[in-house]
Amino acid sequence: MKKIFLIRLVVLLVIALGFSQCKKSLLTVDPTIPLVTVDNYFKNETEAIAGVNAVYTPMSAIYNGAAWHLGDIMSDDTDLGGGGGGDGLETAELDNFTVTSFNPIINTLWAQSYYGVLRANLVLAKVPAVPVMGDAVRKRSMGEGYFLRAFYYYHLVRIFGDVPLYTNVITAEEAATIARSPKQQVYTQIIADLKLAETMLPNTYGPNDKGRATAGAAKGLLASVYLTLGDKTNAAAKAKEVIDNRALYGYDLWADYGDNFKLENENGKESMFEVQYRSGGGQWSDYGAGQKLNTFFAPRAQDIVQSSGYGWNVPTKNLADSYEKTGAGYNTIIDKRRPSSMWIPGDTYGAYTQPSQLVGSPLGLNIKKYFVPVANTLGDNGGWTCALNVPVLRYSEMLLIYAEAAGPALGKPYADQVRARAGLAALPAGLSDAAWLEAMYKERRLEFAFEMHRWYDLLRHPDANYFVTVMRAAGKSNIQNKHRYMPIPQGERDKNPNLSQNDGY
Amino acid sequence: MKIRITLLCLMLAFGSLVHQAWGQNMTVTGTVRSKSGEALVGATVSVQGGASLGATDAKGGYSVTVAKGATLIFTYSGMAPQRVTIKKAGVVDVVLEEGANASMNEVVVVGYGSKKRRDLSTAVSSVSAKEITATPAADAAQAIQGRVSGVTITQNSGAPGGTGGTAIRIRGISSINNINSPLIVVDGYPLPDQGADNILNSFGTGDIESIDVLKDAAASAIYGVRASNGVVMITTKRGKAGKTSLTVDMYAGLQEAWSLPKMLDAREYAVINSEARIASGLQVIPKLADFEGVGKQYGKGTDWLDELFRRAAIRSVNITATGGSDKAQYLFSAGYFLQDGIVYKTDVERFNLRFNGDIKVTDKIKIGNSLSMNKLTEHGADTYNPFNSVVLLSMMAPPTVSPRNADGTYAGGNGSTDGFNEPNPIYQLEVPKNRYTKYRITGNIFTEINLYKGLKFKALFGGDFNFQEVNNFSPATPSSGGRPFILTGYSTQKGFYPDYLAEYTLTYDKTINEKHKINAVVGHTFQENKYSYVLAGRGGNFTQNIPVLNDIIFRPTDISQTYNASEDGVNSRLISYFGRVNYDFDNRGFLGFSIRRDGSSNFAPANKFAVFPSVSAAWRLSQEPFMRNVKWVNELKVRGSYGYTGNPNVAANSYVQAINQSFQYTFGNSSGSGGVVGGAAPSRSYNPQIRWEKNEQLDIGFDGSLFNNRLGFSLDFYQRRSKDLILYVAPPFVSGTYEAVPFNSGIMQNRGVDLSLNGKILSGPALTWNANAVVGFYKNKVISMGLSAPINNGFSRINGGSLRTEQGFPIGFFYGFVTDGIFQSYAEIANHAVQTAGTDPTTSTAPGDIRFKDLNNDGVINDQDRTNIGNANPNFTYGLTNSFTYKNFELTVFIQGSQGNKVLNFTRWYTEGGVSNGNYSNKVIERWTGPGTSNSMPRMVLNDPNGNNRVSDRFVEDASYMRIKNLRLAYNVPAKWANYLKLKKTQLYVSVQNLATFTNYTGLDPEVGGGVDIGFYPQARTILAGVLVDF
Repeated sequence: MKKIFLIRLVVLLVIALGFSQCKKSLLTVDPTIPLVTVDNYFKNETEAIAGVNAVYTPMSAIYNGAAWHLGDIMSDDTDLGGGGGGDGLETAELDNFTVTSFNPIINTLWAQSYYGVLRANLVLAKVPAVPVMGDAVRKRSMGEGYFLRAFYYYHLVRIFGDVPLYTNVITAEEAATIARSPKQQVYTQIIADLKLAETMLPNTYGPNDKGRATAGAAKGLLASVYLTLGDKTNAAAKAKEVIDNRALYGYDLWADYGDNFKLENENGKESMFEVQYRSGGGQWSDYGAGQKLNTFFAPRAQDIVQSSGYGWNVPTKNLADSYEKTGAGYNTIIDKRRPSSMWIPGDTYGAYTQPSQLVGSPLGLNIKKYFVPVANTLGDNGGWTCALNVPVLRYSEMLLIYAEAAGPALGKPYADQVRARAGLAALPAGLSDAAWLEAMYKERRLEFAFEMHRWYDLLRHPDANYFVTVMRAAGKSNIQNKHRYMPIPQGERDKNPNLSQNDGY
Repeated sequence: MKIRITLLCLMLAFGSLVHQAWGQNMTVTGTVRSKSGEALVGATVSVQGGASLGATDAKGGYSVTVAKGATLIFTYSGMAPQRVTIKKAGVVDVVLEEGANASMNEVVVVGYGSKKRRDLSTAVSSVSAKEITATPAADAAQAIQGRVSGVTITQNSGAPGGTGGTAIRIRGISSINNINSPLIVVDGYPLPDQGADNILNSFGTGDIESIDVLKDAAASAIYGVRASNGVVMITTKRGKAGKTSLTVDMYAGLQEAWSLPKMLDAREYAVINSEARIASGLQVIPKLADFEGVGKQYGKGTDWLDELFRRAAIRSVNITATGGSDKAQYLFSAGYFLQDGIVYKTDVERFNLRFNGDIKVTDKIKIGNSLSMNKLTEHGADTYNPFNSVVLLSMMAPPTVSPRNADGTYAGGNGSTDGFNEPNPIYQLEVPKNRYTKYRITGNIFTEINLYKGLKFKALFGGDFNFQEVNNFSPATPSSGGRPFILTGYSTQKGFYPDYLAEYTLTYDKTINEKHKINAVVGHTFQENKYSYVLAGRGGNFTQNIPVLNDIIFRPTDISQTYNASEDGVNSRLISYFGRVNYDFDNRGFLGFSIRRDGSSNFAPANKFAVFPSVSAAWRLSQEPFMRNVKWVNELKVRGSYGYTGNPNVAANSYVQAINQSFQYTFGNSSGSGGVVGGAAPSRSYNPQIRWEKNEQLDIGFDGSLFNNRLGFSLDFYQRRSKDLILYVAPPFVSGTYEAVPFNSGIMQNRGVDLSLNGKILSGPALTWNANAVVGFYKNKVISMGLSAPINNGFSRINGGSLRTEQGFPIGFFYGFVTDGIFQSYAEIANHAVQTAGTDPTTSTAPGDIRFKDLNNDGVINDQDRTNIGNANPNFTYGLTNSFTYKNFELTVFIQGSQGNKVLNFTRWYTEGGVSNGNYSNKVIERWTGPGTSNSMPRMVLNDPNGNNRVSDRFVEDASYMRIKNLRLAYNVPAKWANYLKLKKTQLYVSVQNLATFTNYTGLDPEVGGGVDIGFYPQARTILAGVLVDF
């Protein structure tokens, strides 16, 4: 009996152990759809390129949701239009200089720029170690990483001044304690990144990769950075480098200024870098693949664009008045850039005639630069998804940067080249340095109207008080010196005790 | 050498098992009767500490053979067990008493074992089969509503079959972002889909023997990381040795809606709608301009709610056969349940089969199984969606709109003539063919082996196979209004949820010197779940109007048809070890200690295993000498327990930094939609330390029986603290990420009191009256939100949310504005903070609009003026059962209620003006029409310029209610008639569900899951008649 019992017990225990599952390794289960993590991604060229592509993505949102509010509406070039009332309160805060640290537009610029910075840092950290990758693409990808990091920091430093600066793949904990770095240090990083980028990026791309950063774009952005810093020597040198090597990059001016803003000329010969959009339908937000400027800038409720047109960003009288004209009316403006930049009353498009006034636009002025007509459903099929790209750097800017930085003696032919295309006479010779600067400011204002440069030009003027003076004259009585920098978003300061606020906010 | 010695020791130890001396056996016979002299058929006779010896026969007789000095226990459902120590062979007749003290001796199922209630040191509540089957519901959760103290049960919907879900909340709410539903354990099998509110409709309620609710941590901690919301132990019926019995219980009844809101008729609607349109500067809708003409043309107009609701049938048949010998027992049952919904076109049908068997292989080895097989089919309706709920659509549809044209084709609101083109609810119910089917097989086999005196090994292997299928077909069907389907759509989802369990336990029982009793359990379980689904859908022009995905149904007609298919699955495993020791001293003092270690594949590598300990102690004061003289106390016990449990629902893979591959950008000279490229980057950070939520609970309880066992009570005070709550913390954008990351951060507390009372009020020979009451109080409070900001969510049709969770408040309180009457004049508006600026009454605040309080006194009414305006937590919930028997009649009245719970009645957002050209509640007849006309119902103005409809205390209502949940009158056919028909027992009964509801709540039903009412499926009043026959 004993034996039988023992045998039973042993058999039982063996069976039990046989069934038993107590290995710890069983607690590791692979998901059905493989999990892609920061640690196991970047295995090959395709993944590396996808990582680089994501660094570009935040640009779509910045140019839909922040760049024109800050670059143009805050400046003396445009004002908030729209339907009035509670429409666009956050934009009105910028227009009227009553901005607070809760403003969602500055938050968009802040957030999207840092998305770009982190992604660029990830690319720069991972791409050198991607096991299977062609050398040319690896080099290019690194160049794109440096270029885009500089691009995003350039946006941040101009709007916020001192900002958190990091070049690693930051953790959430580090991000919650990082302090702001002095703006000089940020600029130093931007310049260093662009200097690397210009050596690593290709001069041109094949048809499927058009829109990626090029060596020319890196040099052009560097010229712009130097100009902003007041470093005329380097600004002139960089701009000249691009101009002199324009054949290498395929740069030239379009004979017709308006050709810059046509769907069929995207990434064309004058384009150095532009934000790439495509139509897709139904996004109704800043964060999709399409551009919303077409709907937001077109004459309000005139149905000449998709989604009726909102007339949200409206040119000021001051800007319209600054075009050279032969008579009193806007219809006597001789500057050829006007018809492709701005609607004035009486302008027609097919059966449409711009009226003498509209809701939100008492003078009947509207932006035309990004106009894709409602009939072009391929270019814009509604829902804020216009396919038209938005220029960041154009070749004509190289001419004007050089002209401004090199001074009247050396720069005049280059400025006159831009003016000639606009159908304007050459500038008088022998202008004083002050008069030359004023002429260059005016030229840039009209050449790049609604291209979101104006506010930054006002800020970088040698007269530190220039932007206050100009904006006061434009009737913006609330403007103060503190508005040189926007407030650091309060939501960020709530999460990071080391994030100081700009003066006056 | 060591091994040999060990083996020798083992041999010696087990040797004694075989050579144990058996005492002198003797035969005992007798009958078991109730106090009234009725023979009790099927009463169980067992020997204390041993197995069942059999059951009484048709005359209540028994005959057993036992050792001298053994104690026989006679038990019968609903009666107090009786113990008799056998000193000599012969006749022992036993009389069992009904009554309150029965509960003290009942056997309670606890995790991995069972225990007498008297010996419990933890908080466990039980519900009997009789109480469960008294409620004609397919869902056992509905059947235990109001039956268990401290368990708040809310029917989220009155949809048939419980398919709308029934929330079970044991002792408040423990988690903010994770599930709050208890773990359900059926016959020892912890069911995998913890969290689903409708889990209990997969089983036949007639199969349930008892439901035991493990409420405190010491009771539930043996289930470890899954137990923080308590554990519901369901035990199904099993066969008993003795004669075969066959029981048939069948009923049929009718259901109807008992409280529908009153809407405006055609003429009233024309008047009010026109007034609202004029007030907002709009033209009157032409067809409504002539009020008298509207009255003549439409009469009362369409009563949409009458079109929607109907009188509906319910019926159920349940057949149970049991039987067996000493060696083998079995139970077989089959059930059929059919319930039509009171909402047109909704119904549920269920088949359920069960086979439970037990075989005694030898004296020491027992094998058994449980097996349940079910099929449930539901034809449902959208009664949940704030946009398309058919209940809401029926309230909103104007009375001047018809569901059908005169020729029978579909009609509905037409934007151009009615100003209203919401979907036609009748079309929505008739045209789409939606079906949900659930097949579920749950079963286990187990073996119990007595290894040695008191040492028992049990192995259990089980599986739960749950297959669910959802088919939605919306064929293109023309209609002159509403929003007909222009294109045909069909989608199908097939989900498979297999779950496996292997469980091994060793139990040891030992009594030392008759005073020291030790019971110990150790065990190991492995459970694996492999959820997977396939989802596919097509939309477009079908060549045939049939719900099939195949290309043949599509290809020839159109190239624009869309096609979607996806597949995913989740594998998870749980490996656990547990142990428990109970020590009873002389039936006076009780000590318990339990511990469980759970390892889950869902947990972060850094935190794979969780440990949950608990302790409990009880002292039976009534056994002490100093209590002996207190005659009115029959039984008194004080208990205390403390322990930890967990909530495991850690978001999958939140411990790694995932790459989000959904980013896009565009390259190439694309002038249209081309050029898209994919981008990959992290969009959230990660938390490698993420862990389960931890729940700590302290419980102090008292159980007793007083006044000659006429009054029994159980009283518990508890404090639960959920720590390490998983809260999602939004990162700083500087991190380059934007998705919130889960952190174990935050504390929530529930404090409460559970009380249950049961009394034998009258126990005369003809008339008996028993009463049973349960009450549960709790207070929920968020102690800390840790790293997280306050959370807003709720009603999707208003920005900013309606429910808020914030430190210092109960979870999910209503967050909104405080109203202060109605502006009677422009002077009053001018003297008040600015609501909507301006002087134009069509676009700004005007007399007749609601005045909101400027809580922060900044002169502007804005989001900063919102505050806590109530919450859905009840002050207490209760149930009261009164059972009367008079001769052959039994009457049971069950009252159930909830006190102090608030509901944000958003149905009024739709029906009290401002939102659309839809119909209005008839309460708007009392609206403001000039100074002094109303101080509560604002002026009627379309588009609501003042925001009268914003989330405010205007819509917060006291939804306290008391319900006569069930009234049941039964007649037991006298034995002589039953015998004539060759039946053992026959009972005829009628029953009414929801006979009356006493409430001030103005919506369809005060029982609102989640506390925000957007027009859910209301509960029906049901009248039914049935018969229960025992062959």
